[in-house]
Amino acid sequence: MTALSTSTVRIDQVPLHKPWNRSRVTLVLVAIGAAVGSVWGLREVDLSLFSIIDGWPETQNLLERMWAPTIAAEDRGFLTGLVFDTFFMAYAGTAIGVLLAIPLAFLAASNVVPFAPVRMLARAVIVFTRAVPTLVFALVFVRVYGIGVLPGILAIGIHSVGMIAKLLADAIEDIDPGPREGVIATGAGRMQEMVTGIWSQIIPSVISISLYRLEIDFRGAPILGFVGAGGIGLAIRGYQGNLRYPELLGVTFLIVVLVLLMEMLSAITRRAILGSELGSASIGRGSSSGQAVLGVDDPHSVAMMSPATTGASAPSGSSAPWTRDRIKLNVAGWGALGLLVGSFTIPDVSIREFFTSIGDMPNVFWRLVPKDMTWLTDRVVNDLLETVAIGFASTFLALVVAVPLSFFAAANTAPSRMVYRFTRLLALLIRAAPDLVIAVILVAAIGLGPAAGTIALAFGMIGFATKLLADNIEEVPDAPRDGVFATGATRVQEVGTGVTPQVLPSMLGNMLYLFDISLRSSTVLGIVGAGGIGFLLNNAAKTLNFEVMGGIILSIFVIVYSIELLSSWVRRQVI
Amino acid sequence: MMSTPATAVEVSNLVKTFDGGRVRALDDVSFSVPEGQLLVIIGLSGSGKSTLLRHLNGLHQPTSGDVRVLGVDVPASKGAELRGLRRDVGFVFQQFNIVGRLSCVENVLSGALGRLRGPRVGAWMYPKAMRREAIEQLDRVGLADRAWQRTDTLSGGQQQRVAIARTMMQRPRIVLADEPVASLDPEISGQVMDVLFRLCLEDNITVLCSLHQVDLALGWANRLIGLRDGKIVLDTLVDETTAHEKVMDVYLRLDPDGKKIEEYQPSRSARASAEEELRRARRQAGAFATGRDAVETIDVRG
Repeated sequence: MTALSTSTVRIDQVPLHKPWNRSRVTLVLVAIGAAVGSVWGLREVDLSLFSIIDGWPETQNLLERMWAPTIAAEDRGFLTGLVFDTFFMAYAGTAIGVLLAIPLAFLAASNVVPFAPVRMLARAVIVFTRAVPTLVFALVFVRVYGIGVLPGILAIGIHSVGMIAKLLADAIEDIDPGPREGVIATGAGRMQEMVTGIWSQIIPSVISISLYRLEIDFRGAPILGFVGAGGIGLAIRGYQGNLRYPELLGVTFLIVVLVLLMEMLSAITRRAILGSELGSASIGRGSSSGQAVLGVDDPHSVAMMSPATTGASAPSGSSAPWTRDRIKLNVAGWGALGLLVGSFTIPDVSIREFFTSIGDMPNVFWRLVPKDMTWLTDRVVNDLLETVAIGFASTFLALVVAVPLSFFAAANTAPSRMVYRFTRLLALLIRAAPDLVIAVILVAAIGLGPAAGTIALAFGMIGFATKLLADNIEEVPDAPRDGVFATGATRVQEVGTGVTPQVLPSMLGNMLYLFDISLRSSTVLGIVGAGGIGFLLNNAAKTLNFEVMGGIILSIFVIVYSIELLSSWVRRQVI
Repeated sequence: MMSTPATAVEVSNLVKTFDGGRVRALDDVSFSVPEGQLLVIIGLSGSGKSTLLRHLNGLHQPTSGDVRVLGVDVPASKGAELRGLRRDVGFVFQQFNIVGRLSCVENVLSGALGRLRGPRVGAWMYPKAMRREAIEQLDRVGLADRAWQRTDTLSGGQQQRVAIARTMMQRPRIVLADEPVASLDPEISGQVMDVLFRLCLEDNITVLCSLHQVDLALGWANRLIGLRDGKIVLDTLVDETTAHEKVMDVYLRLDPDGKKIEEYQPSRSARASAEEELRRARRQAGAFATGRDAVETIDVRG
């Protein structure tokens, strides 16, 4: 008819059903896998509505014994000390993590190290430290170095290395090669090339990643005391042992308040530092103090980069002018350094002991390597399966609540501003209570076993999941929604057709990530008797059976890592 | 008072100001459109074309004046009544506003949402008859062979044709097209205009289309309205004798020396504020999207 009739098919040849393609098949397989896994998990952990209803009288009884939460007057001084310990433990741990992660990230970046085996080795370290939970490291280090803050610092540091180094290595691989070539062209040496060509470009990433990690570690630090690694968790363990429930609940609330405070503090810091010049990647004046923020107190490296970087913004011989941003960054930098010093003096950690322990690390890890397979008993296999079951069941329960909730917590789909604010606040509050603490309370209420752990994990995850998924929804562009809206669709229809398809890939990615997290958390629940492999791990630690510990850690690693590989494969298929 | 059925759109003394009266986007605009007319509104960007069209399906509230579409008092209606009107009034956007991740059929199907109750996510949730209808609409715009392809894999012109098919799926009585070809190259523009006006003629649909290409306007319109600075400066029926120069005059009077364009800067910002207000009005939740820190978008494996 016209030039437009490019269509070559007859209209009755067009199928009325969506054809099956790769990503659609993957999606359905994932859905089936998730459904089967969830049903299996819920059965395995023996969790049903009935068991919750049956257990209610006991729960109520316990809640009555817990009420009202108190902070015992005679413990106040002791608790204050523990609060400071927790803070500095997290801080020093993150700082060490950053320090160790920087060289590791360089070694893992393909545009720095062309020699593949070195890169693979660095990547292996990253993957391993990331997959093993902080609490598991803490369990090991407490046995080696004794009860106290030091094993806590080491555990946080070692586990943090993985995540920081991974993100940093990605940042290094993403840098603009131009400036680096420019530096090479001036005849600079290898080290100068690294510092001026690469390091100067990744400083903003280093700072933001470190701050982000610090937030995570502040959340994780309060529970490390459960295994004797210092901090406020010691108090929870003590109260639990003595059945002092009102005090237990009191400390729980104290932890929630602390976590919220930390959150605010880190948000303020983030805005102050990243909102200034570093955000816009002006390197010259930000660099030296930027390093100090991370606790990189090596004056040599600062001195090395100064000529190259300040020289760019100031005439030769003079130094960079003291702008507002520079002052701000310097305050932050020196403050960070001061805190690091404080971390070692206030909780009274011997620096000498610290460095000995770092040097001793390879030895510790060697002791963990199982020399035979006797550790792999039926009980271990059984508990590992239970761990996976808890992971499935708790993720499922959390998502059932969090997915609908996230549409109320997203600014662009919430029915009103009030609902949005309320849901966000709710998510924030739920998130602030560490799941292990909830598990302690639930174990006391409904007894030992995986059911308590599953509920605790699911509850704790609702907050995080709601936040994460709501953030996904908020990133959806408006224009397609306008199009649906203009056809006369209702609000609900508009969200269904205009938002859901757009948000699906990122939501799916985050759901897999949540499963990943819950799997890692479920490995440690057993430490408080809430099911999973943690129980045997804790027992092995108590009896100083290092090879069994090592074997279990290795199997945790294998499970967590294979889930991660699987989820990254799914993500690639669907996006 | 009911308008006579023969009148599709009746606008009288319409005034729209933004930013508390500082920007006057529409200044005492009155006109009426009989059913079946193909009306093109021309004018520079910022002359008020978009703002005018958006009043006709209730995306904007007038500051003063009357807007009646298909006998409905648009500013006074809300909820189900307004949605009912929107079903009868299709809207074609400059940026297509389709859901890129969905297939063409699924995008076209979303035009039928007004006929259904409750949300729909994928094609399988629509009745079979509707799916067939959607494929027919795609055939009308020449894209039946792309039916199940993801829409974001198509070219711009093809995407706009999918959007037109979606509008047709609504079975509208009026189509409002807001610069439907502004983001397409000239050759494709002609094709897309061709599709849009041909389908509307076939289905006896009234069209109000804003454009800034005078040539395209003359090729398709029964009637032209020229807007300048929120006022109607030209209103003429079009036939073969309508001189290109006469229409161009609308532009020439604006810009004989290339200097006056600058005076239109405030009107351009009127467009921006109009869009902003649209968003605000549209979502009761309002413009309170939270600013998140960059790092949280990094895929972090804790």
